[in-house]
Amino acid sequence: MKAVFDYLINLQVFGIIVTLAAYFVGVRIYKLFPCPLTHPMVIADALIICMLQFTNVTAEQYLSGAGILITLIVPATVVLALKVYRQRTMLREYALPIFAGCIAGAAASLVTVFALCTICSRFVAIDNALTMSLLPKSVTTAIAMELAAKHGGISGLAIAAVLLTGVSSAACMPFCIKKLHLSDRIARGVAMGASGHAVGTAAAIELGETEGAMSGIALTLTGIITSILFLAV
Amino acid sequence: MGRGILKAQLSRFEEIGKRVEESSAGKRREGFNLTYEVADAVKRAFGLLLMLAALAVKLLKCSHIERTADYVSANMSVLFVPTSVYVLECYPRIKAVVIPLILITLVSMAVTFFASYVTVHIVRRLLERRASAEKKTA
Repeated sequence: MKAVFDYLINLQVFGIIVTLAAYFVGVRIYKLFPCPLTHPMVIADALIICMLQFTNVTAEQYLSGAGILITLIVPATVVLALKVYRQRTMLREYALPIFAGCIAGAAASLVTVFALCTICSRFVAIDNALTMSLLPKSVTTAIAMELAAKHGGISGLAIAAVLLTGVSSAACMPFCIKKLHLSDRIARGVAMGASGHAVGTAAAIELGETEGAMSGIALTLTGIITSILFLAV
Repeated sequence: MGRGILKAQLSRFEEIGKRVEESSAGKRREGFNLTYEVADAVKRAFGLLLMLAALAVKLLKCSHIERTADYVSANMSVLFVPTSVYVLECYPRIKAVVIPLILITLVSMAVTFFASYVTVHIVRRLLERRASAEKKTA
């Protein structure tokens, strides 16, 4: 039995099947109890972390198959072009607010992380490497990894920060939008994309077509603007 | 295959990090070039821009891709699930400061959201006000 299990976990397809199964469970739970904490990604992440902690499956074994899904993130963002294209009239009309929102979002993200890390470094051991790993947290994984590594940060921590930002944005912000009655659909989409990158965009798509398209534009623009602003760091 | 690609990608990032760290010891990053940095940032959005261009010049019709595109965008979040293992990977390093790091990330995320929302909202209002003022004067 153990030999069969060992054989299965060493298959490349194992990671993919586990990920899809965890996500499927997450979707079912979210349908039953829709709330920020039961977002399919949160549930799937929790299930996979539990599996890695409580079984003898190593992160490497899991990633040998599931890593393929990570490499698909950048190509998958290409499909956002269709959403942007469908909203081209709106994009032309609101180009200035969208651009301003993305600059404000990218600058706010960098400034708050830098300021908070500087303040916290007086009390706890937050060094330059940790600050550099947190700074690109509002852009997509691929960009964040590269920016962090280029500036002396830790790629793993950058990914963790990106993930936490995305998940918390996707889980909490639709709830905040509802509770605070934020009705501006353009601003909602831009804010979701600028604060929660592709994960936020996935949640913005659920809010509506306009929000999804705006979030897709914001995600791209914020990535580019953050990379440029990073030069000043 | 996935593990190979991922390992290669991670080691490339680590290598870049080391090189920059070594070169910045002299207080200046070697090979710093604004044009390169901007081009580097734009290249990541190149696929999206290429697809947009193809749609704009009617090389592609919406009907050609909408079924697949809608399916992928509806289920995009599944692609981010495997990245959760990195949280485990870097946990020993950040164990002592994990709570401040989480708080910094969450506060910054909320500030980013509201900064973007308020900016877009204010700029839109200003533009609308200016447009209505122009209409009145006309």
